[in-house]
Amino acid sequence: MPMFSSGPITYAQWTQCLDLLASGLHDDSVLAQMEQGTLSWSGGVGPLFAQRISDEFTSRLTRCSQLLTRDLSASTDDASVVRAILNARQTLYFLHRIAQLTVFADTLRMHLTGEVRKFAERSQQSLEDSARADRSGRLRLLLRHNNLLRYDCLVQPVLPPLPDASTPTVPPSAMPLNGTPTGARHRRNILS
Amino acid sequence: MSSERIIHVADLRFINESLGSLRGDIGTVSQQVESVGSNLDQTRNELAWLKEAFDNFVAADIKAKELSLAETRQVKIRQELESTFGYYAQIRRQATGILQASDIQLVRKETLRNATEELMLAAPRYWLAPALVALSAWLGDNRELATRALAEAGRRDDEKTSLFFALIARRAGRNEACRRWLDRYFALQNPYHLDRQTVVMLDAMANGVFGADASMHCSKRVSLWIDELAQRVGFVETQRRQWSDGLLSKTPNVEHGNRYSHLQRYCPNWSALNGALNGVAMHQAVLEHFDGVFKGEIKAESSVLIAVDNLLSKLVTRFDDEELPLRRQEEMCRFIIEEGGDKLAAIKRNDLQSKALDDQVDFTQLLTNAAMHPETSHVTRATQRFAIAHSRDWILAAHADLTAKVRLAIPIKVQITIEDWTGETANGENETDLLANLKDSIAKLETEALTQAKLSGLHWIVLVFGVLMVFATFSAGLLLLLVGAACLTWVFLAYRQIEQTRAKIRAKFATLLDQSTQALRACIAETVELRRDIAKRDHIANAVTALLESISPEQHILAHHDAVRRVLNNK
Repeated sequence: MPMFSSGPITYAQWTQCLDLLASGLHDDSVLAQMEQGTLSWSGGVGPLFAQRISDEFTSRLTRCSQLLTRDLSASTDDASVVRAILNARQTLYFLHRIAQLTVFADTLRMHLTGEVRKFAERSQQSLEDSARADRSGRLRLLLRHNNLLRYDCLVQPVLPPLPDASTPTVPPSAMPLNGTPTGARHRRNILS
Repeated sequence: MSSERIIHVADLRFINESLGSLRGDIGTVSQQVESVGSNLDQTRNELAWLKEAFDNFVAADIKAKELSLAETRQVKIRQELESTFGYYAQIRRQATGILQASDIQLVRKETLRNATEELMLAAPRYWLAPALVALSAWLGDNRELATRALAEAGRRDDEKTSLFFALIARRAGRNEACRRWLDRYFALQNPYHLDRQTVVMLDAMANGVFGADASMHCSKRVSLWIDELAQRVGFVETQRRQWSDGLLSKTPNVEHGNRYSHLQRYCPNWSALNGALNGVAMHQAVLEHFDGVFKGEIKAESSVLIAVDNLLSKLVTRFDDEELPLRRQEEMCRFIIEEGGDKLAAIKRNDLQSKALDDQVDFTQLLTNAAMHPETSHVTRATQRFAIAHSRDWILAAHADLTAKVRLAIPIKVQITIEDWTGETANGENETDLLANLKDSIAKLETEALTQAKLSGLHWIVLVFGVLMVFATFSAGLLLLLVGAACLTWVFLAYRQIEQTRAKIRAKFATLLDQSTQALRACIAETVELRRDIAKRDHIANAVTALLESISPEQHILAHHDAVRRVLNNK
């Protein structure tokens, strides 16, 4: 993975960042790099870059929609429904963070933020419409309590610290779904 | 004392007027020079724009005229085809008409005989007329007439007559007669010089029209032809060239200047880059072509009668050599129309596809034509599949050659020329260096321009003279002081003028730097995107290879209309 000391500056470096982002393997590190970068929004560069980042957003939102549909159709209980929504919300939160990067021009920032918001609204509406078929009202309640639109209220996940011999490492499974390390002990569930 | 006073008053007025006039003159001249300079720049820009617009207009005008001419010519050629060979159409229609009429026994034998004999009189040199007489005589059990008519038809065009009666025998379910006619047909063939109608035999075989026996016979013959051709010196090279031409004919001719507008404007090797983009776009076109051929199921005709009738119609309408010169012209017009009036592109396409309309070709070229130009070769999709499957290895080799050639043609460096500055980049990785270099170059030009804007030798002389005059005032009087003051004022005004010029130069170069930097950044960004585009399009070459490697010849012969099971031997 290419590391730039002060974030990407040239278009070629930005392209490497976007390629890495498209691979989806180093999302947080790439975002950290992008936050430090600078880009000249002159006439010829802006539209090309905007096209690239928009394509990436479209691709991620499509994938998010597909995953949400798949997870919801495979869900067997309330927990799996909530997990599916939380996963989608996590994706939207990441895209929201990218859209908010100060390095982007104002118009692009507004456009990307709007795209994420529109997607979340459409998805939430669609989920609520489909929940009407559930006469018990349980699914609707779940959707209302885990609203997809609250993606922007999430807290940035804390990156795991570099492995150190003196401190014991926490396995990723111990992290909560919304990425917020609570530090509190979880109540044990005993499934019958 | 009085004389001094008079001189004093007179000199003051004169010098004041002179100074005012001089200042005014300098200002006027300076404004005029500036105005001329800016007018010159504007005129130069407008001229360049006008030249570009004029060139574009001329190119568009030529294209529009060529397009209109091609459309008119196409109509004329079709009219000529109709007027010269129109009377063949009636005979052609009767070929299948006679067969279908005799199937349902609605027409008397005398009527058939009279009709075919009239056709014989109407078309003196045409092979189909005696063939139809023979057919009606056969249907009327008149062996003697049938034999004589067959002899005449064979004399006029033995190959077409043999193939025609092989198909008719197949239609009538006489497999032995069909096999004998096919034997006769094959005996006349030379795999190095085949007539175009051989594709009808391939069509019949690929669509499962022939019976099991005849089909196997054809398959063996095809294999023998390929073996025979393969023993020829330089066969592999010829195949590669043929297939390279076939694949190259799918290369699109698109101007990508809209997407890469800055490179089009500032890159001297833009045409090579555009060509490289079109070159790698060939993979997508080839993939779509092969994918279209192999995608989906081909539905065979519901009965052998319909299948044979279709082939007979094709045989009698599409392959008359007399029409070929006009057909070639018609094809050229079609290319010009498809290329939107671009005659050079049309000629290039025609050169690559012209073999599809050659009088005689070798068997492998026939396969190439069938696979790549079905609309000109008049073959079905089943035959296309068969031809591609039989030529798979050659296509793979040609495609690999072509891929390497296309990759070699991609320029390694993208040159960028902005005003007088020139730089180059491979993938846009040296953006920072190029920007620094551009900045240095413009700074150097600015320094040179500023150096030019300085006090001249005359100014310095006048300055020194003026200072001397001022110092001389103490000994020689007030007159010299005024002369000295005038000189110094003139030098001061000139200095102020130069300072203004220098400020304008600085502003001009600041604008130039800003615009050039933006243009360079845009060029670099477009270079990065262009390289990505090329890589993405080039990557499709792997999909083409994978598709071709998954094809085998045996899979692409349709099942027979007879209820016979086909057993494939993989040895």
